[in-house]
Amino acid sequence: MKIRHQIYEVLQKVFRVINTQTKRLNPDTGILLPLMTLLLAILLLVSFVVPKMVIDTIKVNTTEEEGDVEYPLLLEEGTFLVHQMNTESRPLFGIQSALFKNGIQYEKSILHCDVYEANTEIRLSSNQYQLSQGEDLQYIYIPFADYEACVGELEIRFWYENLDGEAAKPPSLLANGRVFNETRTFFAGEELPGTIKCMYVHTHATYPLVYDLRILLVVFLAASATVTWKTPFRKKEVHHE
Amino acid sequence: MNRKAMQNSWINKRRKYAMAGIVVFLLAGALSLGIELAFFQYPILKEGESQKTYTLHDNLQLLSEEEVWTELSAEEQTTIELEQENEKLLAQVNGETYSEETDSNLKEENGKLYRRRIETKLEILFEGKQYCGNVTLLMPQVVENLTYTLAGIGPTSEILWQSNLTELDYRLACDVLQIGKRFEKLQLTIYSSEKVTGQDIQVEVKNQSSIHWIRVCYFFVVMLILSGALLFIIKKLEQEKKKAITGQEYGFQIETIFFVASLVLGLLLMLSNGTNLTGFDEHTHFARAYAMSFDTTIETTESAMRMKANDIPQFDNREERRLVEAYEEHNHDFSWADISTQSRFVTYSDRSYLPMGIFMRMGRAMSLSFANMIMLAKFGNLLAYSLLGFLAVKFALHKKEMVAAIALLPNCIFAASGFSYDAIVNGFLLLAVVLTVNLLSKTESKIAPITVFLILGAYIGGSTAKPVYMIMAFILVFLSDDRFLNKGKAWLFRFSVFALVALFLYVIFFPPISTSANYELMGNLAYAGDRRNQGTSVLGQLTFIFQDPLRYSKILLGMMGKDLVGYLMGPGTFFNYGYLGGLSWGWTLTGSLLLLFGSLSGPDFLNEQEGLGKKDKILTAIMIFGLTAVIYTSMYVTYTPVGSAVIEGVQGRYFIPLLLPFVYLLSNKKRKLPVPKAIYQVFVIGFPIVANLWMIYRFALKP
Repeated sequence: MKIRHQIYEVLQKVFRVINTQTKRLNPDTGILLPLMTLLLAILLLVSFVVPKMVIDTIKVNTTEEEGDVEYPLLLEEGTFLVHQMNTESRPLFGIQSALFKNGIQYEKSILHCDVYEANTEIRLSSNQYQLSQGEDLQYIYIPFADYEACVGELEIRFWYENLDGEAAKPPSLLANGRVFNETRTFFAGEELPGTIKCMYVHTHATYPLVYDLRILLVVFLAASATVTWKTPFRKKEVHHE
Repeated sequence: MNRKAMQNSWINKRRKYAMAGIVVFLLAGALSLGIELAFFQYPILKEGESQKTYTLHDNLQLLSEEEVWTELSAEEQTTIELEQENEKLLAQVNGETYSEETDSNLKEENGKLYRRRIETKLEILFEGKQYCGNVTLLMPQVVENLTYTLAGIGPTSEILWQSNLTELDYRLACDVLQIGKRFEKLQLTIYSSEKVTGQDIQVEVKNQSSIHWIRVCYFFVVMLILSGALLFIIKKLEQEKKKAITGQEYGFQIETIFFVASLVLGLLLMLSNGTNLTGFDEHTHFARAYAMSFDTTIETTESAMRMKANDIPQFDNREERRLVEAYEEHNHDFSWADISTQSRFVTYSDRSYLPMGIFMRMGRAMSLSFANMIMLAKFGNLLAYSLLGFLAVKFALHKKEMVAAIALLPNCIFAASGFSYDAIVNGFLLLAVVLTVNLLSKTESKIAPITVFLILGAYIGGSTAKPVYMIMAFILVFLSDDRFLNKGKAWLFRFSVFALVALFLYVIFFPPISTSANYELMGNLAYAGDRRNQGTSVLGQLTFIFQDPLRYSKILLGMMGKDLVGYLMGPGTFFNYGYLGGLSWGWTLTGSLLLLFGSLSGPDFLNEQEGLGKKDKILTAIMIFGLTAVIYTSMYVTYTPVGSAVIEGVQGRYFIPLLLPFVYLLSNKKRKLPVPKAIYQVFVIGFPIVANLWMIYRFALKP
């Protein structure tokens, strides 16, 4: 019985505290709610001014739909694999492409990945990937130097440079039969009826708190509209006796 | 009477009630166990318990094994055509000449494709008539697309019973059929691409009694509800008599009845369904709840992965349930789980999954089995819904019974007892509507900040997953100036509510980008559209609408009119358990009539405060019509192929949050029903409860 009484008393106290706090939100809340609203407005402004930069990976062509198959494109020396795409207004930070080394252990050979303005010879970024890195059959990540320039209609050219001698067979990049939105892929000068398996890597600014802050702001603004404002500025009543 | 005597009388009364409760419980328990034994176990025991396994080497006779040509389904035909196209493509890429390889197992006749299959007929000849409780087919190596039928043969070789053509689950390599009939022999016909006689095929014929505890619980609940309803009526009538004498108001809490009924019905449904995915897109909701149950590193086990992909085995009877749960448990091993990461920040669209995520996490912490963890997560959803409904009924100043009845609709209980955000949407919006009507009906008092927080909080909670419902809050914009300290504050409030509605509508078209996913898709209307339907484009559809708004208005009004009739009188609208099935039009019509009858009148309005005024009723009608039009339009824009003459994807459940405003719109305090309030309450609340109980028995309880 004692324990029951104690629990009952504790619950009573909790309810009393809740009750008191709830009453504080009655019309006499005064300046508290408008102040909170102002604070939220400031926080919202700060959230807009200081965005969070994140890597944004877009899967271009990583899976096969039913009936589709992936196939390797053997990058023999002197053969170019060209992928044309449009980033619109966003710079391309890099690319992840599916690489098949055909089981070869490379030591010095390099996969080049140069970025050009589409249908021109204006090179925007020149990049290399050491084939000795990583495992076979991986999406390798090639970050672009001077990525700020890689905007708009681009042409990404992959080519292989053999530095391991005759024994090193060329690697392959994988493709499949799906043509990704308005992109074109050329292999050895011929346009492919498909797209290389890859992911575009962009960066963009995110505002994770903006959604919640703007909702809280309007809710507090609405609540502030129901406050009387009287309490903090209430004049002392003068009693005439 | 002195204080001590009063206390004693109160204690005696409590004791009396407790004793009556215990007796009712015991009686209900004994009766439900009796029903199970008499109607379900006795027929099995009468036939005698038996279990025998037949193998190819032991009494399972091979009748024939021959090649047959079976017609391919449309889906199989498309797959083959696609494969051929891809082979052509590959040959083109490799610079080879494509030569069509003819598959000797396929032939084309009259534009239809047929596949050569091996038909294996096997037979079990019993000694006399044999009672087959359930038959288990076990094949250790299931070849692809293996289908079978089982037939029970009578004494003159006539077919007494035959199963449908069933695909043997490749994950379980086993299938159980519940029969419960006597046969002279069983004939098993297997269709496969390879010969199956080389493997150890086993057929187990079993007749064993085992108490179905979920069914016992079901009958127990039915008994309790029946006796509860009876006691409720008796007690209420007694109270009304006392009230007439003393003038004191006695109450039986409808919110408590709702809370208990919601939990019990939901639990029964949940226990019966187990890990079966029965709701629309339930696997995608599971995926979100599963991710939510982890911090930043998600460990997806094979079972969870299969569930996410809607590829988990489903069961049709208790025997299969045991097999499925054993399979799930075996594959729910975190030592070889798939690892992925997520942001710690819970995005707004996922917040409705919080109750499921929290309870799933609790289940994992308690080392529950996969099946029990799933059920605990569903219970989290059910509990959250029941609590929200409880608050809505408790706070309702008008039409409490109708609030409870709407919250107990089979659609609502089904959504709450599975993986779905609908439960949170429905629960919060019920609460929001109740609080709004309370606010509108208290015309003389000023609005307090706490009221604003509660109402807007409820609207936000209900609209986070489906922002379109925030339109319902728009009615607050029309609150009169008298409710505020001055005009300036009234306009500030209106502006805030308007901004809130606008913010929610804005995110439908431009979701906030808080993680790294799909920046381009989210920010671009040209790409936005539902991936489940081909030919959708938000921008394309909007262009189509604005090219000729009159044409679209005709499409919209036509669809709304047609569907309204269907929703009020058609089969399975609000009496629907997803893929399990729905009740016929008779139930919908009765439900609609009860809704109408309950809205238009009541037995006693003298004690109720005034409901909505004329102005508010007009606004409510406009809101209902406007929101309906917006729901249709949003489905037209996101889900329907561009330029379509019909609006696809609209479902009756989308309008559940509008049912309560509809009730308040029709309510009229002048019409008084000449029936006792208790009878009225039992009818109004009892109807959805009975519908749920019948649906659980008919659709969810597995034999």
